[in-house]
Amino acid sequence: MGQTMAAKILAKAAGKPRVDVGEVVLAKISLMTCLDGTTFIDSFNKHDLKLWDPTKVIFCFDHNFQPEWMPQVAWREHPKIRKFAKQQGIPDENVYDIGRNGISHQIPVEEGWALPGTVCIGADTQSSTMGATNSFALPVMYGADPILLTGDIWMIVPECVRVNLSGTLRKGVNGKDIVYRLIQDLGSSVNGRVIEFSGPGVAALPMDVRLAIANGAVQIGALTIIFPADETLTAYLNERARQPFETVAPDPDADYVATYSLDLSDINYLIAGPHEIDLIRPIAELEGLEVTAANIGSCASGRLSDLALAAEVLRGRKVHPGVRLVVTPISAETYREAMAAGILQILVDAGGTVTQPGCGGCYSGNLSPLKLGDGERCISTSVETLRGRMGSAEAEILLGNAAVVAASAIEGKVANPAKYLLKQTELAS
Amino acid sequence: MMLRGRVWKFGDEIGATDLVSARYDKEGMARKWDECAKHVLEDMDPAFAASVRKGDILLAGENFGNGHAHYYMTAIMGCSAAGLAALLAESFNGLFLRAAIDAGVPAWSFKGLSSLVNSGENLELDLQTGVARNLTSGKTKQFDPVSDIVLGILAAGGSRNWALRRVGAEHAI
Repeated sequence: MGQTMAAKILAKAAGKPRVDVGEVVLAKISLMTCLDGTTFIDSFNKHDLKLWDPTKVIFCFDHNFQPEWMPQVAWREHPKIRKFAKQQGIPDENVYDIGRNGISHQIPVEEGWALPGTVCIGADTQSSTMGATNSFALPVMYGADPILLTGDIWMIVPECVRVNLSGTLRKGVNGKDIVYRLIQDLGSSVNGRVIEFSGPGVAALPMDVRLAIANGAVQIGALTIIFPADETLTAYLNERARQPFETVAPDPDADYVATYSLDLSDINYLIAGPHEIDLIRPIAELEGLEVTAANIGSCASGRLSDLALAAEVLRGRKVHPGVRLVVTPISAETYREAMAAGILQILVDAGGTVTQPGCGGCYSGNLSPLKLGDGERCISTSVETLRGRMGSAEAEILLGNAAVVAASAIEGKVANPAKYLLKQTELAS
Repeated sequence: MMLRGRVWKFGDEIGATDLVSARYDKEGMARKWDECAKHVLEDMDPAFAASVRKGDILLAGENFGNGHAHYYMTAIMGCSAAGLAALLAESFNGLFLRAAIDAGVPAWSFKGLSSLVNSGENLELDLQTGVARNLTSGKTKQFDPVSDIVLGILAAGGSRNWALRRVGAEHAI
């Protein structure tokens, strides 16, 4: 039986000619990317422990945790990370401090750390994002210490599901909607397996959309998500890759437990929540519900194409006076690009607020002015709908793509963005 | 490694926030595991946490431990602090299984174990040989043994101690 991409990457990392599903292996990692909320520094300091390789560890300042009750509150944690990096011999450029910062699984992609054929580990739950680069990317939160000591990770070689993509996305529909469609279609069956994408539909997806899709592994219920390598990826990595890499492709007879086909042109605007991420409905079922808060950003969105999509909807329009719109670019690079492209100007002119790059309002413990009060309903592009996630447990969080959030911010109620996008297209032509 | 304890059976799709609700995120993030322990499975069985005895075994159905990984450690350590000696299931979410083993909490999937034991019965399970015995009914069933790497991690009390030994830093255990 042929090998999946996951098996090939793990075999190479374990120094074996092949590995089989269910086998437990020790796989060497190429990168450990950490957010600005660590769990290992105190113990490393106390016991004088050493990182296996300080050049392969990066820190990305993204959450800016604020509550004093959190052990990782930013005013304590950021200085601690800077000092730890110096002591361990982590190069300065590996610490993505304010000004170069961004979300801990976006930075490794932008900065050419997460490369095809490698095992990349992240300390954030959404670290599967890096799987968009044909790598095996996995979040480990509290299990970071052993990996940082040994540079390898114990892995149960996972079963894989193939998702065969065809067609192209409709205008305004993006990676968020694909993730929600996959939650609908695969959420109850994927059961912690790896999703590997294939098919002619992949080629039409820009990197931003692939990253947004790979980001959703935990919410879909997959262990991680791996995209195949193609020209879009290698062109993206051309100026970024820090070292040479070898892409991996599945064998033609690779051992997939199931194959699922998805026509991208069938996907429409979908809304997740409130409270349950797997409560997914077409936007038509929620249109008209009042919203008082709107959030564009997070690792599920907040990329240049998301901000551009929101700007397309908001250009020359105003946010409803009963709504506060907060926009958080995913990284400093995205912030600069959005500024240079005039996107931030449009968002601010419309009455939105643009914050420092990072995770933003997705979690109430982060630095963001967007906190939900009792009885509020928020529409957001972020990753979770759980009660209390963005503030009051008596508030509702609905999730949709950046166009949906922008249109809803204009109307003060859940709104389909098609009419705004259509007018823009007509104006342009 | 031998597990021996009274079994509590739950169904399919038990997620991390079913084990300890997201309402107790603050306690979890502050690592107040004893506080989390009081609320284990509260929404499914409000009497559960008070009824668990130290050494009891939780046996869930398919896809145990789904949901956002942010809530995994709160769920796992809450269960452990409540007295549960092992988290077993027909099948696991891979990330949740990894988190439990990393934490040194015995966890593994045994396809078909649910048909061997009922809630309230006593189970004996040898992780090394894969032999499971229902001590109440006397029935036994053979499963695949658990990997030596995983047994090594569990024997060390979690992957941190296991790794410390591997790099010769036992002083930090």
